[in-house]
Amino acid sequence: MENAPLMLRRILPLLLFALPAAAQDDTTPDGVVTPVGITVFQMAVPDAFMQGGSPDTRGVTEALTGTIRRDLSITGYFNLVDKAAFLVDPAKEGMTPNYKSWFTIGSQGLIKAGYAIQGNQVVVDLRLFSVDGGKQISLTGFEAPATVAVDAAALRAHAHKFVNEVIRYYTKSPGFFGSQIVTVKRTGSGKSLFMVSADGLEESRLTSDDSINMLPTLRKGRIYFTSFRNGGPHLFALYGGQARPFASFQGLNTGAELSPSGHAVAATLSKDGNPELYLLNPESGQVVKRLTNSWSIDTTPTWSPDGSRLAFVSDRHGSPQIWIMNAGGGGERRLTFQGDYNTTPEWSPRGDKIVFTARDERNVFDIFTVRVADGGIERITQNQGNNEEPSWSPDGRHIVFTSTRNGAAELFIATEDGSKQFQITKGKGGYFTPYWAK
Amino acid sequence: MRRILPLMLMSLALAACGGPPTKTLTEAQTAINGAILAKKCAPEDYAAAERMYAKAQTLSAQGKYDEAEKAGEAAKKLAEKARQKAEERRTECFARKDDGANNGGTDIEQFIDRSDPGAGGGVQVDGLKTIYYDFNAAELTEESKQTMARNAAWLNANPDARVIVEGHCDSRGSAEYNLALGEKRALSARAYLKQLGADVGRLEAVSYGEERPAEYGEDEGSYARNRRVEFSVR
Repeated sequence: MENAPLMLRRILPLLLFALPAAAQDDTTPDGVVTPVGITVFQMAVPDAFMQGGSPDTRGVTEALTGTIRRDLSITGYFNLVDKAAFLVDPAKEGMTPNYKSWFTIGSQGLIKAGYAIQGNQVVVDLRLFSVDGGKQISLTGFEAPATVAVDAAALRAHAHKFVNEVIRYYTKSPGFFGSQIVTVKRTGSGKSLFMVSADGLEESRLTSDDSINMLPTLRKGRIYFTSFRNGGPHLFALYGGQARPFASFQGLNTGAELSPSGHAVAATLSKDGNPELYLLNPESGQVVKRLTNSWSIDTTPTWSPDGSRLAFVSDRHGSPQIWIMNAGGGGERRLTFQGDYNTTPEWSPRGDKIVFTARDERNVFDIFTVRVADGGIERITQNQGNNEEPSWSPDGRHIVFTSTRNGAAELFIATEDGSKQFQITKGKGGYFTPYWAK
Repeated sequence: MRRILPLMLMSLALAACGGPPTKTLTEAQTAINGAILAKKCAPEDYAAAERMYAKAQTLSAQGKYDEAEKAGEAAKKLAEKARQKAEERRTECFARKDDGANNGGTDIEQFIDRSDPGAGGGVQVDGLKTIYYDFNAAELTEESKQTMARNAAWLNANPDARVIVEGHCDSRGSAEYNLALGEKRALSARAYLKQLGADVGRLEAVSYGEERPAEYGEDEGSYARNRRVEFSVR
């Protein structure tokens, strides 16, 4: 059974980026409160057990219990209690837990799964118990057992939905399982867009041509991406099963992102001499407005969640830094002042922070956040390979990014403070520029 | 005895009771988005999912939230079914060879061997030499200026040659910023050739960013050889 260890990091000070004192505190095995106040819960998840019907020869137990355990671990909100510590046989105990025996081994929560296989269907009973509260917790959609096809994908989807509700119970907001991440991998001599499920286990190739396809964003059901398929970097919109030419002005056409309301696309064009930010009509790709005007590189626009502002990269002060401006133009303000290579900003869906990649004095790339209000910096990754190209989950509580800590670049998900990090992809590597669909 | 720490408030609570099934509709839309391949490879199933989603939206707009919720759930299931079917049909759907599509991951090494850095549309000629740059720099080094003097002489001796000036970066850093930096390198190289008296009307600048490395090594030597402007002739 995979029991992926949650990565508890000791955060060491670096020369360049000072850390808040709280981040250096040691952690304890349970009830860990991370720097932004994420509480980590102790959860026991015994194997699903047979409640009737025929024996499990098709991986029902793994599809249910394995998915629940892995999902809980990915979020960083839970530590799984070691099965070796269990004091009772969960299957013999059935659906009525002896709370004391679970409390004794440190569980705060307990998830039980029962199943009864009937031909190609299985009746699944998933339940959450509050061990310290001594009661079952009613979760929306899981008040009664459900009938699910004996199919790994269907069972995993059911388990994802359950985990989302478990997370809603503990954190007041549902989990992200079922959401998608659009990313890029090298294919042949080119690059292709891929869609990866938020748990990293399902992957679909989206583009099939031989050219370089890159920098995808996905909002409101529409992918915008940059491609060399018709020559120099041009923009395309991908929806309804077709990639459609979107912007192909002279020079660069890169990095389009749809606004949260869908009224405009922000992108980088160099048609007027050097890379500048523009607003484009989301349907026609025609220029609505030029936003920047400097003799330097302005690129990688990212929308604030209310659509009123953009963050972007500019090297107008000599090195690439994160800047913000009004989405209607003007109000340009530099936000980062440490380091000399800060790129790939993405504005949090919650509005308060911008996540970005920084290169430090050792030429290592790491993920940081900067507070919009006062420029306060927080480090998300450290001393684990190169970490780049971060993107927020739709609710702004997690960050997906690439990391080379285990070799070739894999996708990782971190809590918003970086206190917990989990590799979601399977270990063959080669991922670029993930963008969590919003 | 372990102490239970209180739940921290991590986000605003959603009060969804009695209102439109926004969550389900969003999930259905997400599921349909995720099944985009099905539009091509399992079009009937995809259309069924889209129809059910449209129905859910209509019901929600009419205030029939319970029915909208059910229709939304059904749309999700249909989208998932369409997605699965499309995955099964992927190979025949994309009739030509589709490397990396059917396994969960791609072995990057095999693609390194097959890479074709010269596929930019032109062919390299002996008379136009590649020039190299420092990290995040677009200024010509003294050595590059000497190379460029010889390149300018070649251009003057070959007045009919149409030349592509390709800006490239090393693999480190932002892919998008590197496209901008590669363009800056290509434009600065072209501008310098103009200074040297070359006719730059026939010089087309294009940036490949970090996308077409000269070599794939992750070491300082490889990085240095990838930070370059290459010239090719159409």
